[in-house]
Amino acid sequence: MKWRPCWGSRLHSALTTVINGWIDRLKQPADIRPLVTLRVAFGLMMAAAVVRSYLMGFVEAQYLQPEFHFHYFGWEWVKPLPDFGIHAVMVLMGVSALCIAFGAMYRLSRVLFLLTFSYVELLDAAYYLNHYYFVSLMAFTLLILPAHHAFSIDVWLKRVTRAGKVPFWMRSLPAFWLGMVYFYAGLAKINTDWLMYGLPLQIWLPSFSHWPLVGTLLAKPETAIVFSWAGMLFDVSIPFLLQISRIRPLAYLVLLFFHLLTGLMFPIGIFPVVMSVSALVFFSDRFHARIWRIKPDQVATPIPYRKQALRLTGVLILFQLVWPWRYLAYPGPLFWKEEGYRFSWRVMLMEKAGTAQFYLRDPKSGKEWQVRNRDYLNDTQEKQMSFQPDLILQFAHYLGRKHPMPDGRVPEVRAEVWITLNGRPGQLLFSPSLNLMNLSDSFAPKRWLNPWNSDF
Amino acid sequence: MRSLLRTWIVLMAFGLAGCSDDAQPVKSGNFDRAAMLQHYADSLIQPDFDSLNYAAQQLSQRIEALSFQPDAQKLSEARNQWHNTYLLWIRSSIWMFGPAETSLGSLRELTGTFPANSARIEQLIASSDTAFQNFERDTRGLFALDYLLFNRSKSDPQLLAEFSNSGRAAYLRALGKHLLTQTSAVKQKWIAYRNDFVASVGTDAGSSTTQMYNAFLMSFEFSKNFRLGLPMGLRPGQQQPEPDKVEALHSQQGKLGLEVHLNAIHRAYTGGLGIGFDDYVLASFNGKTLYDSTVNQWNRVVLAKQTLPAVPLDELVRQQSVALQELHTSLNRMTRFYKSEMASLLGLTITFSSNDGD
Repeated sequence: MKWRPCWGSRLHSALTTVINGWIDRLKQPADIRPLVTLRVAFGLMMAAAVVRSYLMGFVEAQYLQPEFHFHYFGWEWVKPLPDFGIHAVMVLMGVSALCIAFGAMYRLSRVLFLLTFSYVELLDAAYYLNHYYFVSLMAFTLLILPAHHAFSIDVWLKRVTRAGKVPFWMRSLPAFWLGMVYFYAGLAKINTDWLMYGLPLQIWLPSFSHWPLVGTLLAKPETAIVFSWAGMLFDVSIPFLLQISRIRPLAYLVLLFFHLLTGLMFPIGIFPVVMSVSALVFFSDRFHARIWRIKPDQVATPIPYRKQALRLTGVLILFQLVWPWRYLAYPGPLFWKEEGYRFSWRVMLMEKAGTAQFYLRDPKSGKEWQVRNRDYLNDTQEKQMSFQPDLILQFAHYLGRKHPMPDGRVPEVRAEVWITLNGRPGQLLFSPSLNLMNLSDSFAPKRWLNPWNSDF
Repeated sequence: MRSLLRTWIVLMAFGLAGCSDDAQPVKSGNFDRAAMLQHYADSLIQPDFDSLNYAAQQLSQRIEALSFQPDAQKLSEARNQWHNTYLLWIRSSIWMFGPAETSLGSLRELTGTFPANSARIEQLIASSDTAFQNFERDTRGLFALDYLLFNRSKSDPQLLAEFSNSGRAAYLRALGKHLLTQTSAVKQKWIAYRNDFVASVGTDAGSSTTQMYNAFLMSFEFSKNFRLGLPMGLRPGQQQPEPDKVEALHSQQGKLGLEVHLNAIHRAYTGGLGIGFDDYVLASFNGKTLYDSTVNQWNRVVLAKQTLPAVPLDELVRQQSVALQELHTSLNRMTRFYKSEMASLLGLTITFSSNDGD
């Protein structure tokens, strides 16, 4: 009898064919105009967002007034600038966003936008929002996408050549990110509280019981369950439904309805607009050709397939797909300890709040003081700090450094932190006798946190 | 497309398998916020501001009478009326939002900053400055009056003799008028504001429920942190207790003021005889558990309050009274029920300003 290496090599050759097919597909030229739509929309939305942050008083309240800022672990070196510096960064951000929209000095303006936006985002971890992270990801993506080769001031001034085509992988990348955000946000909703108890929607929806016609219905627990399932199913399926040309218009209408409703119900700022507008990249080339009309000969000029950029994108995609799962490396539970919670597209996922009372103690005299958080933090900072262990630790260390004892030594800092999660009775996050000055933050599991009791 | 669908189903199945069993929580129901707001506006807030305004009017008249013809009888009448006004002011001090909140500060800040700055008050009297065109809020309001009418370091004949000084008498009158103007402005504004207040039935950052809740919470925390924490020397940087920093130091009414305030907090939570925050909590998801915990902890606060020895607050602070510390601890333990747990269940934000979140 003779051994035939049938299966392994056949699988290998089949896989090779499939992968090569994909790569060939990614190299194929595609219309640049969807990227133009994205560039213009993104730039305009971001410029509007800068104006909005001033109109809403966010710049003043969040970046100029607070005496203390929370950092992301590993990003302690990002420091706030003096007031005029913050204003300069904001203005630069707005101007570079406009330049992106109009395709003016695009290569420079996209770098400036990414730097200024990321700087502001990194200044204070208490203001972390998933949609800011999404904006950073899109801004980074613009570094890869030559979206300024059509309908731009750069082309008009002949700074770059006019092009009608980009490789298919470039045209698809923004849609991939969007799809990933929705899908991961949907996966995150697959948990007991969300699907079985309709939480936190069962807590949030009764706030709209005064709405005409539907108000009474919204206050019903059953509605929360239906909304929870609908939200989860929407998130996990919309990226795929938007791929199918026949049902795309309907799927997009559902998407608009979803974002309109969540935008009306929850204080999520520009997120619904950003997502609704960005989702236009799912539409066909023909759709975008109707927005940007050009002569057929100009459509034909292609931007070459860029191997290095594609490789970099591959690494970025891999990172983005793996990073949200890092929570599995921690003992958990995720919602209680929040190890691996951020940067994972967990959007409007839980109702969590805490009351944190800090105490400073002079180990020598035994005298103890009680901290009023508002003396050091604004509303948002206090709210976010009160239930996130890393921020609690940062604040404790800040208090310790700020209030040295008469002999110059740092005091003991302890805290009594009660947290309620999805309507459960408050539980102590960690022992109130723990001296937080003896602990330091790291990526290692925070073993000083109490276990969580999920009973209601 | 088919393979995508298959992947989707597999992922969903994995996700669903991750769900586990828990004890079933109690479900939420419907709650009439409009009725609650109407009750608060018509039965609590407006009557409180009306009473305060009336008391301030009486106080201003008595002060005027005293200032023009100082005698023991008039001093006693003015003091009694100050006492009434203080207690009504304490009760109204919970509703520091809407008409009671101006760009220059809340009614509580404008008319009740303590401790009063007696040295600065004397300077202003000496320079006949009664315009109050500055940000020195500790030179006016109820506790400036507390200093002038009850000054502990002076005997009554001495005080009366001082009121013969026209500058001092004028400052006293100006204080009475200032308090009256401030309380009257809030009362008047509430008449126009009432319908807007009742009509704003949402729970967003600017809604009536959120504003009233935040005012309630801030008022509660004020007693804990300032009426008690400040004189007890509990604020970082304080080296020892500072009994002179009690509210209403000279009239020695601070302890009564604190007790009245805690009663008023309870009334604001329960809505008195009508529909209140406690009913709202009961109607919300898993609300019974929070309601019971809140009642239990409140009973501990009441017990601690009743256990306080019958001596003035500054004396209790000076003695480093264990009972006072216990009252403070019981209020500390109360905080989470009123703060994070109540806000969380009712879907309210602990802020007056709007903010983005996700």
